[in-house]
Amino acid sequence: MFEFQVIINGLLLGGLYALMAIGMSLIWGVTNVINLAHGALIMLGAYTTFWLFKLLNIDPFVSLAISFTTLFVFGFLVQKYIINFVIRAKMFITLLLTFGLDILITNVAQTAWTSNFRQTSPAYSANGFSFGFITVPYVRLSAFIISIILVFALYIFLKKTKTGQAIRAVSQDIDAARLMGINVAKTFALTFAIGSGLAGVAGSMIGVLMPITPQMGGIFTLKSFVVALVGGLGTIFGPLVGGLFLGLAETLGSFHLGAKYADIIVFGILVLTLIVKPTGILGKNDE
Amino acid sequence: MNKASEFIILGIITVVVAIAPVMPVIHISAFITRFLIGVMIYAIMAEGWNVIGGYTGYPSFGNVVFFGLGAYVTALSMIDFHIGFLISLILAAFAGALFAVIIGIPVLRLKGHYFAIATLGIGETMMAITLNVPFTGEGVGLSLPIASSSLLFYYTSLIALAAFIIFLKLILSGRLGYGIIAVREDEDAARMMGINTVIVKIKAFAISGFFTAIAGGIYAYWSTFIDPPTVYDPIISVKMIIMAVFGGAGTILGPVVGAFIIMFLSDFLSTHFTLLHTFFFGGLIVLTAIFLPKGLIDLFSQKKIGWNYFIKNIKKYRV
Repeated sequence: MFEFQVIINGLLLGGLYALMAIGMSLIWGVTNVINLAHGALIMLGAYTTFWLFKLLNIDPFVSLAISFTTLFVFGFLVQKYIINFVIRAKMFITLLLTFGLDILITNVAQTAWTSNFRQTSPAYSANGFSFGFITVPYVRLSAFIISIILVFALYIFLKKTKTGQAIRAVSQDIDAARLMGINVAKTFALTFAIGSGLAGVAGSMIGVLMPITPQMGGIFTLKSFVVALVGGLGTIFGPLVGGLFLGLAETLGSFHLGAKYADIIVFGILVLTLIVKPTGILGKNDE
Repeated sequence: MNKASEFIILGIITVVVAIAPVMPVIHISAFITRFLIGVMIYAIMAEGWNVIGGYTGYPSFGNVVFFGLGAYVTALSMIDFHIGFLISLILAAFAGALFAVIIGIPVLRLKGHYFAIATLGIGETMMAITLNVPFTGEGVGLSLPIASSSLLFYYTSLIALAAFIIFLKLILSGRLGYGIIAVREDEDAARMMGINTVIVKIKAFAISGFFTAIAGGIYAYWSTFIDPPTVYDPIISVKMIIMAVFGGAGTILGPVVGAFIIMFLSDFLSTHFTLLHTFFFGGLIVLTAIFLPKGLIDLFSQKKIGWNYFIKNIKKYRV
């Protein structure tokens, strides 16, 4: 029955991946910026929770809200005062810009906090419950549930609220949205802020599950991209589908082939998806 | 480009070409020789990126894959087969070109950001593969024999860089060069005009791979030790891109100028202002992307340089 446990692990990991990718998918879908600093934002979220826990003894699940708010404000400022300046330039320029931001944030974090491995470790971090052969760790299950809640919250936000509708309008046609009286610059900044905030939440959860360093971002940027892409760009439930798919593929793959092949599987999926169906699982099939 | 700046650039080139070969002989210092070797290796890579990213308009974020491949082919051929350095270097170059063709066939079908991220993924995948196949020394890395003199590296990289620039100059004034630029300006239109865009793109990628692999080979023998995290480091891709863009992507001399200035600043800051060096690469990339996306060469070929030049880009592309 190992196989069943592996599948459970894969699904739980998939929930975490979905949580990571929601923000990237939203920013990409609305502003057409592939945020290569996404992993760095996740890292900032992880450190926010870590320091709050270490210095003030605030429970990681309580600090989720603080982590979200901090990164929300940070993301708003980054988009408003940096990315918005060149957002209509060629794709390459925004890619280069966010890559620069990634290096900048990582290096500053490294100078401020050193490269030591750290982990947010509340007393319950290793606990879990089991039935039969299956063990389910509490923290991973919580991350999974939070991820699903956030996907649905985002869905309702985008469909029902005025701001959400403005964001969707801008993502469809900037000029038409502007004619309807929408402040495009502010909407972009808000979108980036929400995406960053979600990255912050993902980072907080990751900090409880695995050791963190300032350099951890790179791999998460790539994985978030793979998840957003595989799930289908511009679809709200894409990250969830993509996350579960990638989590399962990675866990099953490393169970059968060996853990060192995990990264090869991820990037194999990336390259194959790009070549075979760049619009992703839920995406429409037109060019 | 106006007359005066053209004259200045020609003058600088003449001086560099005259001085470069005798630099180490007049013996300035080992430190400067070392610095110049580094500059030339990066100049080759920046120029290699320029061919595919600057001229063809396909911004590769994983060109480090050719650097790493070149380093490993050179190292393995020297260690396992006892082949001489220069022949190993040529083997590495052809391996780089061949690999560019193999990955280029699927990947060059992708456009814009999809191409960028696919190449980023290929770089990471090659690092993971090299870490796991037995004959590459896996994570332990490979130690190369120690060369008798660093002059070998100075002249090899000088010749490779010069050959690359001359080769590029020739290519660009020929059929392939026009094809490459046509693809960048409008790929569909280029196809309509009867250009086989697939072949053109693959050739450009192969040229890029060929020379970047040479840079990797020189680096491997020069540093005498390679392991996957060092030679497949994504930061190397970023450095080539920023050198090419900062100097001027889509110009022949831009990447060389960019490589020299950036290496100089980086070296200077890391010895004198360590804290500032922390912000150097990230800050430089952000500022270049916002204020100087066309690079220094474009800046200096303006008739009048004013504040307006720097905010022109923002005015055009902000929301």
